[in-house]
Amino acid sequence: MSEPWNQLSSEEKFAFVGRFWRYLAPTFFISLSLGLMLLPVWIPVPIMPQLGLLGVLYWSTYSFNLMPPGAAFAIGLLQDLWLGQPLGLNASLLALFAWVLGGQFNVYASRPFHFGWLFAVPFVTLYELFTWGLSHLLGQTCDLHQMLWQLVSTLLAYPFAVWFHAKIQRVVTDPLIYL
Amino acid sequence: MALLPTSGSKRSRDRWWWLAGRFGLVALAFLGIGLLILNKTMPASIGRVRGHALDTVAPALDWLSAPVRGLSAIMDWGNSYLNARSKAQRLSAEVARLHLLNETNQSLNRENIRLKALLHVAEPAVQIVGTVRVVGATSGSMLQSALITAGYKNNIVQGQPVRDSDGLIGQVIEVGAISARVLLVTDTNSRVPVRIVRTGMPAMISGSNNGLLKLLYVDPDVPAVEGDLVVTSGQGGLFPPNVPVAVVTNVKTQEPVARPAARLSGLDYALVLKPYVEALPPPVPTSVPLPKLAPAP
Repeated sequence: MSEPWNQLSSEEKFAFVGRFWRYLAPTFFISLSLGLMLLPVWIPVPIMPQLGLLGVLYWSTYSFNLMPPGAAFAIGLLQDLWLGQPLGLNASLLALFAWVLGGQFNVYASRPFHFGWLFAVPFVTLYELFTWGLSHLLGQTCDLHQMLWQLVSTLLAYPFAVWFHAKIQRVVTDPLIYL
Repeated sequence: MALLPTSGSKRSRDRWWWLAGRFGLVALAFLGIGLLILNKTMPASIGRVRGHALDTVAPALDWLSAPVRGLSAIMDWGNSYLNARSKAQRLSAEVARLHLLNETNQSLNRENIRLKALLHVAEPAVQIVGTVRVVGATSGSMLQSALITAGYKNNIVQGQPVRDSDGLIGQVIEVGAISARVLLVTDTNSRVPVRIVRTGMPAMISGSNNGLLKLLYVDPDVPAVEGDLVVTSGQGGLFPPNVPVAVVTNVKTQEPVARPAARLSGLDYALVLKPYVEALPPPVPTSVPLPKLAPAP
């Protein structure tokens, strides 16, 4: 910022703050969605989708500059802490996925929604398999069926997650916000 | 070096950013691996960090889960209303059966108390730490756990058993200042020493992550049958004896399957208990000095 803060108009101040807010918005909303995974929905199977993964998947592919691996790592760390999973498990995996997906923008660009959904299948499957394998390695046993339930629920929740994050993306990337 | 910047150009600034990005990635990789190793090497410290992380979300969850609790209450009410007639008939039959059973039980209970007094049996009393509200569950995780709104400020410590009015829920595994995590009996990592009431035979019960439990190490000569009540045996000294844990529902499988006695699908309040037998204090050092051994020649 070249001008002193008190010499800026209110619109310019808003635009300045908006630039930072823009970078924090995806991380904030994905973290908020993680809270849903903690609500007392008492179902015997883990039907709650991996909302953190879906968020990172969306932002890394459609707006990768707003989802650097560091932000994905922070989201994963929060997920590990809140959900009682081995610390660093989701953090490492989400950062890795954000990095890999960030480089695939050309594959995604100008493709229909169904392509994105189909493209998500191997990523979500790999993510669940890694989570399952690493949890076993770290002494937290979990059932393979449970992993499959969550895989299915995550894939079914993909359209809703895309709809939700696309709404946020439209606001975040709206040039009118920055005047 | 080709990547080093020349003064002030945008291109060189981009190169620095690129380098910083790559360095950041490597640092993240090391951090992630380091944290995964810490899970194995320093579980107690990691548990404390988790406990404090729960404190950040528990108050919000208490507020956020109110609609879910309300919805659950409405569904319960609707269910009770729809099944009122059949339930009343079933309960009337049950009351008649229990009246008969109660007379026998009262006489056996009196006899039991007399015999224990004669034998000077020392039994620790079950001590309650407090009644807590259940505000969260981890249906989105592979770990079956619940979050309660009480932590070390309310004398909650790791390992304490948790139950509701119907039976055992699980045990405290992580503690924060104002919240704690309870590992449910339905989790595959949970193990509870139990006793089958009908046969009196000991066994172990484990979760299977699908809402049901598995009865392990049942004596093949005295098998369990469907409808058997399974209670805590008190072995190990953590869980108090005779707390209902499960009812056997299927014995056709290799390991008998049981349904939890506690209503885990609608937990709202729970009771945290102290471990049945407190850990023994370390031996007090004797004031009499031990004789010194003569040095070896």
